[in-house]
Amino acid sequence: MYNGLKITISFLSLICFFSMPVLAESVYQTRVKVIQASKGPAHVDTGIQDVVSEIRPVFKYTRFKVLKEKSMSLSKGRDGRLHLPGNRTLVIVPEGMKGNRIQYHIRIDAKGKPVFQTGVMLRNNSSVTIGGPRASKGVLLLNIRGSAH
Amino acid sequence: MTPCNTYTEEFISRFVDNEVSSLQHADFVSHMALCQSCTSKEARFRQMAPTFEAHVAAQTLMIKTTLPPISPVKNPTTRPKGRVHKLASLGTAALIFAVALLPWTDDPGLDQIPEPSAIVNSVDTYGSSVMIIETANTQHTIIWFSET
Repeated sequence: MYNGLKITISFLSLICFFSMPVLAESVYQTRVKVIQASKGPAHVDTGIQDVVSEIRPVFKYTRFKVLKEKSMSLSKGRDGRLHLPGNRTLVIVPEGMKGNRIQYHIRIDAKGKPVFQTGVMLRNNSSVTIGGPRASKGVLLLNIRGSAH
Repeated sequence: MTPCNTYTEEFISRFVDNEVSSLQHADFVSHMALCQSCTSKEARFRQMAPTFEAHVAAQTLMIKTTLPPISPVKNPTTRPKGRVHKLASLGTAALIFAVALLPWTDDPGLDQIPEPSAIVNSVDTYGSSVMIIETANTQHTIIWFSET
């Protein structure tokens, strides 16, 4: 009786241990913040201070405004899309896990044609910023955060 | 039948058990042709041998059946109570579960070497220039490209 209980608990523990990566890959919570960066009187919208603190020392922009924010629950290989200003589209596809990093394929289409694409391995619960697309006043910053659950 | 003292009973017993040399064996066989006493003793020992072997086998079997089977020692007085063991097992399971969760936490303290937030495997800007930056404080990765 006792040995049976011990074996059962050990077996269930091992199942939990080895199934963690599989469970973690099942859903990729992906959050995109579209920020417009421009010159002018200093201003930072709430919620992006942490991102701006990384950007500001590197680039000359002083005003940061959130244009759009979207959270997507994506499964492996399933793309998430977000319309951007200037007839652009952001396409994000999680491609699985490698260690503690999420592999993403990220593409920006402008007028139906790709103008930028990259493959990144994003640390779980971290973000990457893609900048450069021109907006009406300044440039766009795309802050992409990924969490595997 | 005249008693014979040429060969001892011990020698005859060893002869029956084939424990004598070939020369002694040949001599005793020649002797038996002439000595009825030794022949009789040899026959008696030869009859005793299977009886003795059967007796030994019976005794061995009796020892095996009468002795209790060998099993791991279980002393109920020294064994911890079932509840304690159950809690210990649950604790072990919880420990394994906690270890399983460790790789999925993003505690910077676990990373001895600072790593960028994103490792860029490939980038294609279709002719535009591109710049990849890692910030000093938090190793935040920035990919910057200039649209043409």
